[in-house]
Amino acid sequence: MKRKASFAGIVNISILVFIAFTTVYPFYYLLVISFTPVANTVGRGLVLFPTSFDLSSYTYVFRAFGIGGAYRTTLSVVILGTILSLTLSTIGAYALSFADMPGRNLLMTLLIITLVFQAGLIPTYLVVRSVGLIDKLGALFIPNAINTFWLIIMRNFFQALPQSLGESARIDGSSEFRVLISIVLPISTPVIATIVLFYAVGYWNQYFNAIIYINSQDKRTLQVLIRSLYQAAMNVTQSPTDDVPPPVETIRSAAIIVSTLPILCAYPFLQKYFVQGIMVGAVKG
Amino acid sequence: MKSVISKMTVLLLASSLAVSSGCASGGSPKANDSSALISGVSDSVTPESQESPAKLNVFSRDIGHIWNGDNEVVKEVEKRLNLDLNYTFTPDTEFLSKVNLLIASNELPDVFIFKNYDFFQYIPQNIFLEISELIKTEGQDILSIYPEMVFDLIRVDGELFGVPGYNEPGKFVFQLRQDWLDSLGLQMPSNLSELRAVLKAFTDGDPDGNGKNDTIGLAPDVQFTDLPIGAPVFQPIFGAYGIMPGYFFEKDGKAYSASIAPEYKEAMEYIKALFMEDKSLDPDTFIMQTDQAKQNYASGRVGAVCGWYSTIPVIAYDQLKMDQNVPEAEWSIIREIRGDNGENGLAANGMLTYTTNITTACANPEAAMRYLNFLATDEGARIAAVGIEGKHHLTQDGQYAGLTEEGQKALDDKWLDVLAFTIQRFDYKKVMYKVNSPHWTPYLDAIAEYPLYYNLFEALSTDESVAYLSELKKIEVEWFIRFVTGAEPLENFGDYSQQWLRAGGREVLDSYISAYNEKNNANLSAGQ
Repeated sequence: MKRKASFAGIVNISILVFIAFTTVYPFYYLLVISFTPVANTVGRGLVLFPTSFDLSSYTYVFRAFGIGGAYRTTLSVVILGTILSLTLSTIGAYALSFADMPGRNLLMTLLIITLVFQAGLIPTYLVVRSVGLIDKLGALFIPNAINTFWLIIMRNFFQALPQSLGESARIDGSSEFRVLISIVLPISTPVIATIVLFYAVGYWNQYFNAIIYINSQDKRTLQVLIRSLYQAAMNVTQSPTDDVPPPVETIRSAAIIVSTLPILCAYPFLQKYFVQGIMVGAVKG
Repeated sequence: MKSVISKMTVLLLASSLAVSSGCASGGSPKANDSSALISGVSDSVTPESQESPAKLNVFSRDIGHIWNGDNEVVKEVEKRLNLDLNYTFTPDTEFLSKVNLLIASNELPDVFIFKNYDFFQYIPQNIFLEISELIKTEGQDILSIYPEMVFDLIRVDGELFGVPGYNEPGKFVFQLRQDWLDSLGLQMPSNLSELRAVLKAFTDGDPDGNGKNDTIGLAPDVQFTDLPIGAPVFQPIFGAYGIMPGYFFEKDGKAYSASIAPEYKEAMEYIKALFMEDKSLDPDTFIMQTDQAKQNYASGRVGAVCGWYSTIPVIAYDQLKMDQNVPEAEWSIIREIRGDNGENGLAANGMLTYTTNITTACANPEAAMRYLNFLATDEGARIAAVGIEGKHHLTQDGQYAGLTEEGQKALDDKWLDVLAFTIQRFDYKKVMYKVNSPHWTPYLDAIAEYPLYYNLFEALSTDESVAYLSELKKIEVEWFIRFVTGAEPLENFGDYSQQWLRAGGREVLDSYISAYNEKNNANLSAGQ
């Protein structure tokens, strides 16, 4: 049966297409500019199609000393950080999902306080230093291992699960850890995928902490290295050379693509869970 | 289940205790307090330490360099001076935050490299070594390469807390399209009326001969933010009227702000005529982004540009390939635009781009100063900028003659000249610029030849200037745009002056005069 397109439907679709375009176009524009020869970018306004193909901006970015190390560092932080954060958040959220847990309200209050009030830069730095994490990659994921907001989202999801699932397993003699691993987690893939994505993107984009806690250049994260490359391109007259880097605009475009594409690739694999998971835990408080 | 939960509770509480205890222990000062270090300076060079390399940790802004442990240039310098060097780079935007952290956590490096006059704000914290005597004994070459007035700029109550990073004060070049001038049969302008005629002809006379009215007489090279640095396009005009907005000047023993001087109004009348009557000033001047400004002049639409010396040779040609897009373009430098009284010049800017400050935590200040001094020598400056002779660069008749392939690769990899920004030798760098990029030469020569307007109160900072200057700049920019675009008649210049003075201008002027008189033992008074 064919559905007749209503006027409201057409308006809706038009608006959504427009919104989609405004969302996608900047990224598309960056992609085009990053591949466009410098001479061809001059004097052009709105760019819809590339006129030719050039890799000089990418050459500049990938030629950078230490970019391989920066990718490795960032990937290590993303993987280790996400595993640690997910583990701690899951355990914490599961425990806090029990209404009869002693001190639950106190713990929740303490956790929520951290959402509103932070210790401040200098006290946090002193703590990190005192536990020997300065210039260690651990400084990039241990101090902020648990994001309270994601923990509450997970807790709400666990609370919404039928209690009877766990009870039947406990009657059969399962430990609480076994219940979590064998019963709760397998049916919690939407929330886990969502939280993994949020943590991973957060660690991937980490910049300020990497500046503050990491001193050695061989431990620089990708975002810090790219900032440095961009800075070098801005200071074209600082070094006595005739090998001037491409303009900052094209380097900026290439750098954004280089730094966002890898994490962007994770989205399609997690999207089906993400769509289900984005609303999880939102109903029950 | 309850046992698991109770264990978790214990764990959480234990963690929070650990964090709390971490806070407490992190706040305690380290043993190396500054007074102990200063008094221990002369004793620190024991026979053992003379043999073992002196460690120097340098904390600097990141300007795109790589600290590579295998850097042959660094190793060469370390070998010559018996040093163990380590540089830490932090992006500009987070630099001062990190400095604050290092001070708070008592983790001072041996040497800081601060931008402009940023180090002034840390002097009350006693983190810098006073080097007046040290520089005389270990830093003679530094004293010989910089004029004394540059040291005076950063002296506080007669004390010297850092080595200035002197830079050539001329930064701007005014240039026009010589091919357009030729095609229209016009001469190089040298005064305001000739300039106006040329700009109008560039706008209306179809100088590119394409039959379209698509050319712009005068256009900015950067986004308009403030005067005179954030809008170099107007500098030649203000210079011809004898002032530089945003700066202060002295006349007959009195100090004036150029921003409310009568000459400012006259200059605006001229600029307004360009904008409103002739339409030879880019209509987007006040809303244009820097990217767009670059595109305009590099795509051959603009006849005249006043901007950083790099604007045409580096941005338009090296980066934006103007030679490919507009092969017929030929630029010439406008050497002077004189006003009716013969006044002429551009703004001096960035005479001091950074300071290198030895800290009180430095265990061996003599070694630190010897290192800085080495970088100030001809040999040190050359090694720091272009590496080892024969390996990274070549010489001919004792003069630098270009980079080797290995040197170029090291430069591309961002580590060859990693030490060159510790002590600035602009004269030396200029020689290298000219060898490596000959097409920059006329522009590098021009910045040294323009007459310059200096800010009388350069390097002075008062509580009032910190409190009011940014707001005063906003007021100035807002009124300037309204005057030039005709939104406000120039007869109301007095209203603007009054608002400027009331909004803190009076306090700023008075406080500057007071600080200037105190520092220079002068007797200036306010002229406005």
